[in-house]
Amino acid sequence: MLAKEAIATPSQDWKSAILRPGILKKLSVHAVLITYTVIALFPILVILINAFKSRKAIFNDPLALPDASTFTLVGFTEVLERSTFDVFFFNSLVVTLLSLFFVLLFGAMAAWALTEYKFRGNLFIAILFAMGIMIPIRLGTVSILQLMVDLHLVNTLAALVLVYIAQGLPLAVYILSEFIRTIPKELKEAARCDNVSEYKIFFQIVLPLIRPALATVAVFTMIPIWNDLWFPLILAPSESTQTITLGVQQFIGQFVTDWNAVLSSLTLAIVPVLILYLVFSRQLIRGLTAGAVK
Amino acid sequence: MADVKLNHIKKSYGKVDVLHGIDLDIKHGEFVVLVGASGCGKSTLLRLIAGLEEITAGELVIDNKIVNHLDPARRGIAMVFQSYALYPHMSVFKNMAFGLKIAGQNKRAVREKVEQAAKILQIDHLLDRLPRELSGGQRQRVAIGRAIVRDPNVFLFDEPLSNLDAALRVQTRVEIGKLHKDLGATIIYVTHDQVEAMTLGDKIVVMNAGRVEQCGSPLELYRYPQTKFVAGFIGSPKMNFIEGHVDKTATEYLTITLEDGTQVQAHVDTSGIQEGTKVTVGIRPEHLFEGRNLPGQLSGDVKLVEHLGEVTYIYMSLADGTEVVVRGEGESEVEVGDKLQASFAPESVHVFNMDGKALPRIRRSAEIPADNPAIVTASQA
Repeated sequence: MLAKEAIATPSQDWKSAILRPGILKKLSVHAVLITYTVIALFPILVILINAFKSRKAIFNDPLALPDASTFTLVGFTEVLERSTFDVFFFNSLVVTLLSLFFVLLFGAMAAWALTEYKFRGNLFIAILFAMGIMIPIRLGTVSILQLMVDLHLVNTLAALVLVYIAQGLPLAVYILSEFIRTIPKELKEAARCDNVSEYKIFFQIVLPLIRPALATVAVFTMIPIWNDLWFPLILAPSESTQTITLGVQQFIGQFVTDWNAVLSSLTLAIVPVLILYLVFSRQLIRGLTAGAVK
Repeated sequence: MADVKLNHIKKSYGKVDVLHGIDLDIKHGEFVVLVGASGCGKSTLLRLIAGLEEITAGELVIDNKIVNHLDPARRGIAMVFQSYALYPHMSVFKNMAFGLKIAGQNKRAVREKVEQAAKILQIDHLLDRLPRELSGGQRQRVAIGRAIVRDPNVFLFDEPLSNLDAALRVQTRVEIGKLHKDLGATIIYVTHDQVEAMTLGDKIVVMNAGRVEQCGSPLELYRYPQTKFVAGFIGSPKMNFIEGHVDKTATEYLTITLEDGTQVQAHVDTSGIQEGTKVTVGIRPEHLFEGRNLPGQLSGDVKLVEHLGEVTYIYMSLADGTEVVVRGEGESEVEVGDKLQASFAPESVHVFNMDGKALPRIRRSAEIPADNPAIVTASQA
């Protein structure tokens, strides 16, 4: 009996010794992630809190939650009544959705062509796209502006859409190619035996199967477009074509800034991206190809 | 009707030749099995016939038309893949109907066809499910169903059973056999499993390193293998090969001295073989019997005994170390370490020269059932 216990005790110590580093590791990982999340969410939280506070309260204590005495919707009423906020909002939405649609469509098409077909210049085009990831499109701003002037596209939403498609395509092609490569080649061959045309194979078999990847790319593409200030400022600054990020600037004056209005419009600007993100993230279901082969 | 003819088909990937000129003649309604070790080019050949890869040289004729440059869909073929290749985002019904819808057939005709095929394959209750909700065997049936609804001239099967477990494999094998009888269609079937080949095929094509080694009915290949490769490939367990040299030649009889000194006789065509030539003797395990009842004799030490119930496989090693498998009786009492005497008839001996070519065995009007020693001895006398 005694001998048995003697063996049993050390073995338990040994077990917990193994367990403890595991817990430590988990804790440290979570600590890092939580810290990061707090840092990332803090500015957004400050915007949200202060959007509902009076101007005085914003400056007295920026981090305090709005209470009965400081709560006000004055920022929102100002934004919605006094400015053409609906126009900005609509412009942003149109530009983002159109760009997104074409980036996904052209991106998937290019990715399919580059991975599925062997043709001359295949590698060259792939390298061009890779360079598009490496070189920021803003470096070409001057020539883009010249080009848009020549095409009489300045102060149109089309100019923005075109630039954003160019900006989004390289990464989209890169990510989607990787996904398309994982589609079993038997599926395409089975379809070819079924007399399915190459277009139908792309639209009815490949596209549905890379839906999770499309959603990923959509999220990656959408946020920089929605948030962009640079190109709207340069290419489409006219009253009727301003996007929301540009529209907010009218509340920021050289001497006086209407913080209530700025914070309220930023709060409102978060809503559509949030909705789009929720829509796409529902598509991020993994295991969609399960059951195809094996 | 839909005969398939291969005239000197070649395939190379860049400088690597994969198929070195394949000639095959497949009659309508035949069940042809392409069999060979992995990497021998059998799947490539099937893909060439399907039109999924370009033929480098040679002519492929289906239904009296040269189809070398036709799309897969226009060759009148349907292929069943090893991995099933079902469209994962479509229900079973849509999977089967997809090709027909693309072809522009009207909805009612499509539904009728799909339901009929589903009934044949007993998957009519699964039509609304997605592939991922099906078991392996059911997925395989859907894949076959997708081929059936297209009503092709030629069915191509690419190792369709290798992803199934053993029990299901036997069951599906039987069903494919029945299906062939019911449909009366031409089937080309690729497998590496010689049991599938023997049970299903009207005609077996044994391939090795990009060439057709031999082509014939299952029993033809079993009885008269033309090369050592075919002899070793067909039959399970494998044929025993024992090295030796020719001692004496006589009309239709060879006397061979094996490495361990034993002399054996073989009933083969002796024309063109010199005394003293090195040869390989091949005897199937099922033609070796415990005891001394037959003229040919081998003796060795038992190394391993496998009891399977109805038979016992006895692994013995001869004096020179050659491993030989003997198919003993089911309730054999032989034990490891025993000395074993095995005997065989000269008629069941195969002889191969150093190039691996068989010396033709003497054909007889009716092959003697090998497990009847009485007749063998009588015929020898």
